[in-house]
Amino acid sequence: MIQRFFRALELEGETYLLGLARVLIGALLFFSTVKVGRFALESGYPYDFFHLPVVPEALVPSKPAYVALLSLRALAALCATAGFRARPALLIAAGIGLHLIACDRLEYHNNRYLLELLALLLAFAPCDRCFRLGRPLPAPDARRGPLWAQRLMQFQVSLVYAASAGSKLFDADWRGGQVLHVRYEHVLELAAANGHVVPSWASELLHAFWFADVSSKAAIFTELFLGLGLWLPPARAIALWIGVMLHFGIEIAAHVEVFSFLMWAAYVLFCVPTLRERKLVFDASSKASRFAAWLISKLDVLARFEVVTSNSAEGLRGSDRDGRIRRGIAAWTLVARGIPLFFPLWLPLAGATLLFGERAQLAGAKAD
Amino acid sequence: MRLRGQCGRAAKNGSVCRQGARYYPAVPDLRKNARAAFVLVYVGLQLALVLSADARPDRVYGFRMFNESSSLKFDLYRRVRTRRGTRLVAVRNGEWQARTKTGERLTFRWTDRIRYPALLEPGVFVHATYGLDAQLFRLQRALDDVAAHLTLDGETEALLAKVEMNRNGRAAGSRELVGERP
Repeated sequence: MIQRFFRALELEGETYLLGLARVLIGALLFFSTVKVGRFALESGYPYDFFHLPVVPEALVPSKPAYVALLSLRALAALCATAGFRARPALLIAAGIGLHLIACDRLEYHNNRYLLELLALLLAFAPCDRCFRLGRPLPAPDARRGPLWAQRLMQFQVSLVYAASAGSKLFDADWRGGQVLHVRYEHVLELAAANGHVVPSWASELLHAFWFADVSSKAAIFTELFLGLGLWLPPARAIALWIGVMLHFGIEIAAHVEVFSFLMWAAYVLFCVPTLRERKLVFDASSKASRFAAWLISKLDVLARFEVVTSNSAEGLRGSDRDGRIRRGIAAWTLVARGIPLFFPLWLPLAGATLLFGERAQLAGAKAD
Repeated sequence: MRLRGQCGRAAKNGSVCRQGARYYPAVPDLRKNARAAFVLVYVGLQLALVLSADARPDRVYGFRMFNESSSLKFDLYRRVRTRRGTRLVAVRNGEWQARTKTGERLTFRWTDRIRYPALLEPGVFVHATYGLDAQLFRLQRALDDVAAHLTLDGETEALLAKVEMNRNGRAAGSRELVGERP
């Protein structure tokens, strides 16, 4: 057990995805800093008013120090995004962020705290080898690095889901649907107050206690599944799809600051850290097919595919990691699975493939 | 190109240094034992914070997302000293007038100190972010804070909040919180 633990700490692999996560998290750090700065500009220095520090009051920054800290954090976030001294920059930005959260627990929000934690852990990962502004992608062996901090970030993401699900599971009001029922009633009141017309079927559904009861249990199960399923290879893609859709819903319904964007960025770290293991072959004789090949190669930010065009190809032909060749809708399912922009389509396409037959040659033939 | 900082150590470990690669002295490239210590401390700390979240009224650092659909309303009062003793005076619209010790009449406002949105408006039910306990905790500390900053108010001895609560849609009784002047 101890040996396995130490072996895991020495595990090395491709750091391309860490670089991508760094760009995304760096951008979120910057935007969250700008938001705090704008709020301070509008309302004044926050510690002139009622605040609740976790740290001793003496450690709460003065007005000039606050301005300096926010400016430094914004600069560090930009450096992290651009890949200029990215790891120290992440450490500085996260350190300032965690300190400011500790200076006023009124301003504590789970998503802000999680952003700082992920930035902190990312500073301990070799996230500075790829996606450096103005520099090409290094050679594959120069991109390899230790992945223990990435594992720790994955643990942190799972812990968020597990903690949230656990607290709801042990709360009778949450488990029984009361909390969501009140919430749904409030949503209807808000809609009516703002002059929005809610369709009668939706209104009836939101008023029904059984719906709150079922959706509470579904929410708890979803969070538990995300906490666990992201670690299990057979369930990971489904967990990621459910997570993406869950946060899409949260973003539309509740708009919780940077939470959804942060979780989408963190999901990058759960992808298999090996690049271009799948192959897509497009028909070179068709203009539309050539355009699709170009578009997919541009949208393939996770570097999942080797995209080629061939005169001998008829339509799209894809080959998965295991070498199985897929055509038609099954090939497009493969595309949706690997391209983040199309990922919401993956599960419906996979379902359609199962229902209507995939025209795939699953005889184990290797792709050329 | 000259390789700097951690690269020398990484190269010794047979890691990633190559001609052309350039590494800065990244602060946190830990060795094996330091990694183990970091992981154990980090995981232990996070688990402790999550498991102990209920011990903190506002559940900070606990990842208790949307834990309640509770709401709370408070009405603000001042306890003032009169010749016959003390009495409660309602605070209308969050502001009141009081004499200073030199006899000057000044206007004081709840919002002179309070900017937290959920505590801005007395007399209105507002959603209790992170739960009822969290909001009661914040209100108590807000009363203490405002009372402590009434240095010019020569009349007010304490601020009181009469609180009505709803926990997840059900009436959860009332409470009276007092912020005494130090």
